[in-house]
Amino acid sequence: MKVILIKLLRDFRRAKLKLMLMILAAGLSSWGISSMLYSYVLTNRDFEENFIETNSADMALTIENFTPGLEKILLEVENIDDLEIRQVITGRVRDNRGSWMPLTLFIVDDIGDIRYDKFTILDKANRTDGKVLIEQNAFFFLNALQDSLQIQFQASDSIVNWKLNGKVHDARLAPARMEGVVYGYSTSEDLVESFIPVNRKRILLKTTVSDDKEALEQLFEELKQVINSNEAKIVSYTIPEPGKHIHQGVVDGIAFLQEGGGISLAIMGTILLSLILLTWIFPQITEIGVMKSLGANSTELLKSYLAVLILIILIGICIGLPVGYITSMSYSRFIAYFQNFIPVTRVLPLQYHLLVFLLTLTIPILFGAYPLIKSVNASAIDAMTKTFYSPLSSVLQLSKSSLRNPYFTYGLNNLLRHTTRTICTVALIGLGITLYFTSTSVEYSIREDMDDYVKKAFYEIGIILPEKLSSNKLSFFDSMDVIQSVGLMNVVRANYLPYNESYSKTVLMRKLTNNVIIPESHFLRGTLAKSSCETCIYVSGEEMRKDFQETEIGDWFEIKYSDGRSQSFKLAGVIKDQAAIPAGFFVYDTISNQSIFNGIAVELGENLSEDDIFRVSNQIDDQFLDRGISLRSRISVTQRADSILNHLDPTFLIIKLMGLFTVVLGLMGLFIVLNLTIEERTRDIGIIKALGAPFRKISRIFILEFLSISLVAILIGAFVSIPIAKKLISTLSGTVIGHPVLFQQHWIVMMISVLILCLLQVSICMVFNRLKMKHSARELLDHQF
Amino acid sequence: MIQIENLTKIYKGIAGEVLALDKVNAKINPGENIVIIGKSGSGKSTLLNLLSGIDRPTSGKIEINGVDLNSLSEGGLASWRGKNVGIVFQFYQLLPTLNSLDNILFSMALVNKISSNHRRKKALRHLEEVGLGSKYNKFPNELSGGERQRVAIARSMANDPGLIIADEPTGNLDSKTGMQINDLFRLLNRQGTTLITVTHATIKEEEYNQVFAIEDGKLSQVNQNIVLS
Repeated sequence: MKVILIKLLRDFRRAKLKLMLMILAAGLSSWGISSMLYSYVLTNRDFEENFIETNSADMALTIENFTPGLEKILLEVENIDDLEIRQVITGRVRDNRGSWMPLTLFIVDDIGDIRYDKFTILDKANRTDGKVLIEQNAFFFLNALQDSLQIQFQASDSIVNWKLNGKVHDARLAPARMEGVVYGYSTSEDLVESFIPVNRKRILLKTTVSDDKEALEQLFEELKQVINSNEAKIVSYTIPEPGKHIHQGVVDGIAFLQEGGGISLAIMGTILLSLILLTWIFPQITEIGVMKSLGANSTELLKSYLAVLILIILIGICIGLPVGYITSMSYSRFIAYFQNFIPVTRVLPLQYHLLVFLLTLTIPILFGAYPLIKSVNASAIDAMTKTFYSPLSSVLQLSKSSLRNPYFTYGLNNLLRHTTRTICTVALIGLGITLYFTSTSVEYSIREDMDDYVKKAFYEIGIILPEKLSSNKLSFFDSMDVIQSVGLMNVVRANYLPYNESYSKTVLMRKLTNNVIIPESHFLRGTLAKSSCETCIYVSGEEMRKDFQETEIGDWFEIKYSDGRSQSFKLAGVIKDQAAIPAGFFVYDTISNQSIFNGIAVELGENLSEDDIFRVSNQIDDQFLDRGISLRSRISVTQRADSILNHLDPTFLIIKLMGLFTVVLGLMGLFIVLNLTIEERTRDIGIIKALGAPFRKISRIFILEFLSISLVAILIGAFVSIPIAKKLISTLSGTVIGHPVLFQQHWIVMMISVLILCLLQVSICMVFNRLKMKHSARELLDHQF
Repeated sequence: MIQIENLTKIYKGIAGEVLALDKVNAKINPGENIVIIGKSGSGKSTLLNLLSGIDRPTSGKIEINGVDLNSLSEGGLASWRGKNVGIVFQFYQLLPTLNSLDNILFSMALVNKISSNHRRKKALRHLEEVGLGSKYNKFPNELSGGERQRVAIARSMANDPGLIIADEPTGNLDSKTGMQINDLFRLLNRQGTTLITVTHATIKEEEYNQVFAIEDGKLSQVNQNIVLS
């Protein structure tokens, strides 16, 4: 074995390029596998330590007419373990550019004694006059050095200047930079009394039935009875789904992307390794035959070749593993940014590294060993004459009867002669094409979808008021020329149980007056009821579309309001409404235009620019402010679309880079395969040349062969990319996919892409053929150059 | 008419220069059956390679039917060869991924001299002529050495060349098969095809119009202008 091993290692002196390519492929393979595994471990660790271990509350109730006595009574209810009072106040705060931003302030009894949904105080000034701690992510908008913040609460006309007391980090909140909302904590009792009704309290409950959805729902019913019997009332309630972050959808999308990318990288790397291994071993097949005829047995040969393979993979791991770890660290930081986590920087325990090492070593060996075993197990005579491969006879019979063109027959038979290599090549190019098509389709489709939505939106600005107002207080809209119509609505919280889920979800229900018309073009399923229908309900948004995909139009289902009341509705349609934040229900209620409302849908005139919409939005803000009303939210469809796209920009960049990378990798694979094929078919080229074929005819034969492989790979890649792109679009954007993926819509664009890829391939093929063609037929036949 | 003037071939290798052919001169008339005899390494195959245009001389000239092979480009030479020369290699040189019939059809398709409607029929006829009509769908690795050589001969006839060059066509065959192949060549020659064969085996001089001997790259004529019966 030692002699064979030394010979093999010496052979690399004559094949330095192949050796480098093999190490590169091994490196790519270990990079792909390790980055996928490390990313999984690191992001899970971040999630565990930042989120799961923060001891979340099982239930949150907002109770009106709350008394200290009720606290004791609630604690005595069976299955209630503990409770903590935490108020929430909303308002707005002046940012470092002088503009107002939404503010959500959590009021706790003692900042040092937080029991549930724990947060970390990062930097506390310990000022005696300090009143507010701001969530660290919001310091992007606020001047970190300023010690005073201008704040206005919803219930107050006046603006207060509050001293900043430091930074906190709450991993359960969405990052302020993404949401455009400033979160903060305060303990001021004065504040509560001044700005929140003293008898309204928000309490967090910890129970002994945390993981039992049914028991929690039952407990809620029990609590409702207890609270009602004590002359108090539940205003709203939430039972959060355990282990789900507020940005879980975005994170799931990126995780899907990362897993897909990692797996693709690993597969491409291992395929590349196999292909390069074939280029290395093919010229040695004759030598294997000679060594066998001289007495070397298959086991010795296999051991020697495997030893070389393992050595190459180990060198590849030395490069790929650290790069994979660095990639995963960057990825976990990226995910941490989305989740408002502080990434854990502790070095991973040794056992994880060992596991990753073993997998990065084993997977390429499993792939790479196949051509080795096949070659080494051939008989001496077969190896010496290289005839142990034979075309698949059944397919050949078919080719004989159906292909009259000998060029096609020759090309097809050659592809079949090396079935493993052909499959590897198709897989390699197909994978590259899949990711390329997916990456180009995802961004295109989401942007097109947003543009389309903005153009067809049935209202341009959506407003949610802090409290219900009588419609006569909204008469100022009539004086604004650019406003075409104003639809009034009541916005309430509603809970529903999604299909096949055990936890109910809380969304907004918009009760519309009859003058708000949803255009037919916005219906993905169902239609607007022809006449008034109080029991008809419409759902909007991608997440809800999925939740109701099993519900037929006309099916009845139950929703539960925040105060515990239930009502049944029949599904009348699924509509596309990106501006409905969060996604929710629409129902037409029997409310007159003179009633009181807390939601407004504003439809503007035609052909308004983004600047015009921005100006009108500010005018609306001012009008409300003049009347002492601070809006809970006001957003235009353009802002909503921009916000979604801004959220997705880093992801788009990753997808594009991944698509580009895989295409480059695919072309690299193709380069290797072409090199190998032309190299081993030198004698064939010599024969063809001797038979009278000029350069262009020989080129045509090879081009035809590779184009047919590419065509199959492109077709497979294109079809596979459709479901992947759809899944990615829906997971990433969280919006309804109105547009099909790119090449379903734009054949020309995709054909040009494919043409460019084919031209690249043809160019590579021509260059290689040209290099061979400069030799005479005799040199090619004798392989003497 | 084939005219060879001062043909010299020098191979440049790691060990230095090797003179394979040394100022070779010869004249072959159309329709003649020529044999070149010589020992292994004497330069026989080199001469055939130069005559068929699959290699280029270091110096000297080959003119076949008025065409100076030196004046043709690599592509031009390939096209000329396809239309005018049929080559039978010592080691058959069949394309391993094509069956017997497709090997012949492939050669026809490359040259495009025979109308595509007639190719299949003609190829099958050639296979019949070499006695392999029933083995048209066999791949080279499914045929014996003699059968492969016969397929190679059928392929050399594919485009009705005026000249067939055969390098040791019976060198790897048993005597019975060798005789069959020689009979086949004689038949082709009688039909008007110029035939140039090289061999290191013993020959019957009376079967050839001219017999050349080659030794250390030098060509000498053993007999000439015999009228064959």
